[in-house]
Amino acid sequence: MAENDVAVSLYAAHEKVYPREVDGRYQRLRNLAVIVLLGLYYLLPWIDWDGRQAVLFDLPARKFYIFWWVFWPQDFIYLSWLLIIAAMTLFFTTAVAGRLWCGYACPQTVWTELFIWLERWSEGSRNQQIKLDKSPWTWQKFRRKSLKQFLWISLAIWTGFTFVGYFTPVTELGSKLLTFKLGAWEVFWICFYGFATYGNAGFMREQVCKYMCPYARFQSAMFDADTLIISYDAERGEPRGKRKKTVNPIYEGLGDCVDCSQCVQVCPTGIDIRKGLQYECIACAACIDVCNQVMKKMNYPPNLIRYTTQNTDSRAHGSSKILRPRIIIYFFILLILVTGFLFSILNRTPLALDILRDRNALYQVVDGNLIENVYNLKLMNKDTRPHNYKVDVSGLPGIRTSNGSLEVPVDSGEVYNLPLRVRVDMNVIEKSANTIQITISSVDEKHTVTEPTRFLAPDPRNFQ
Amino acid sequence: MQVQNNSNSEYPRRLHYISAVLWPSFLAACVATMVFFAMFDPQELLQIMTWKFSLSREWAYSLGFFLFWLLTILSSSITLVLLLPGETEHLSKET
Ligand code: SF4
Ligand code: SF4
Repeated sequence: MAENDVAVSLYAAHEKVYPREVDGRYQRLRNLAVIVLLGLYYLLPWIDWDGRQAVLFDLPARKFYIFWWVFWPQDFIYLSWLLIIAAMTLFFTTAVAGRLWCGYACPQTVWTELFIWLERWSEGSRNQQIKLDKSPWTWQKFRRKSLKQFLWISLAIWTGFTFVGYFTPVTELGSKLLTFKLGAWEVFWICFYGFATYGNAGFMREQVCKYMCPYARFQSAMFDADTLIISYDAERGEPRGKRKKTVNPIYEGLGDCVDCSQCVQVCPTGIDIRKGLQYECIACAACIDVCNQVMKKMNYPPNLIRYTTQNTDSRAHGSSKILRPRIIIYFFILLILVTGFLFSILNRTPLALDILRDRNALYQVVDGNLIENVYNLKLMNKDTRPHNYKVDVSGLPGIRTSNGSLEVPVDSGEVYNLPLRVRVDMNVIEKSANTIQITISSVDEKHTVTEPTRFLAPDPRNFQ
Repeated sequence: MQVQNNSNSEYPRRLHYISAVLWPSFLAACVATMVFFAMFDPQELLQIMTWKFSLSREWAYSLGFFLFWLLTILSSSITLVLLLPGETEHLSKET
């Protein structure tokens, strides 16, 4: 690339998209999604549960609290499982209903929407914004622009603060913020996340979807001719043209599209849906809403732009199938994953046992005729309450621990190291390597784990 | 299914490259950090290092994340460079 070439492309004006405000069924749905999702995001860290934060990924202590559950690094499998379920859900909904995710739930969309609200509130409607940007700097312009920046930056900081609040107790964080005692890493992550939100939702907006998002590029692999898409009914709309409300378009040789360009003005990605399905379309349905308003004003039937599928659209097929092999397969995979997940998480034993053999000696002979093996047990209480645990050994006749019947108290989240001496009478031993079981159970008998381990002895032939 | 792609003469190309490298590598680094630190406790890792120094877990996680990100950025950028057509044409003209 030649130098000036770079310069040109680097500074080439990217045209700012000013989405026009719109009202309608889908816009209300989108507003609802924004309020619910962002409400959850901003409020969740403040909810208390059993005297602690309900959702807290306590990284320093290496445990995750999610309402009544506590997860440890050992439970990582659940997290990966959850991620797989999330990915499958995305495939499934995409195959059925297209880019629902993009239009209603993607953080990029949701935060952009919120930033646009603030922008409108401080700079006015689409036309006022365009005029403001074109006008020379006046006191008025300065005031509006700085109000917007102030709102955006405060929101971004609050967003970053909330983000860190998922990883460190949020009330503590709040009081540290108010007294200017935040630690360096907290400040850093608040700024990092805040800055990313500000940049993505304030400035990059549709460019994130167009140039950065991998999902936007994968969608065509998940789409088929029966997937819900948003599309313009060209057969009905063309030839487009302006006309008076009183004129019957048929006499003028016109279709139903009045060429008001409203659908282009409301589009957050700045495309013209009438050109056909484009990968920039995030399926936000704003163009449906606005076009329906126009149709209503003209007294034409609604849905010139509408949710449809390619098969319905090409009149040859006329209808489309919801139940097709791809959907059924996705659905069953999803079903299996979700039931498996729920089953295993509900039956999770909040107790883990690791057995390590003592490395120094394979076995010892004690009291003349007893063989002793030494183990190191790691007991982990993964429950939210402290428990007393008792230890049992089994698997050989007369097997017992030298510690007698013992009961160990383990605090919630604690790992308890317990050296265990296991003894067996020499006469009952038939081979040099035996399998025994070590069982740990809480005194209230609620949680039990049993792990096998090896019990070593001298070869019986040598001493009989 | 055919999706039209009427991309982008107007988008600043270098910004496009930068964001196309940064974002996927960011996602990959997130996953790598999660998996890595779920398996290894930074405190234990620090203990077995030949180079002794202490670091709080928070810093260790942050540092780990950025190291991963650096690595994935490197890999993504190399892919980008390999895919850029201009450079080789330019060279072959000169030699
Ligand atoms: S294209 Fe990507 S970033 Fe944009 S809304 Fe869809 S998933 Fe989100
Ligand atoms: S074309 Fe319509 S549905 Fe697609 S992004 Fe634009 S306004 Fe939203």
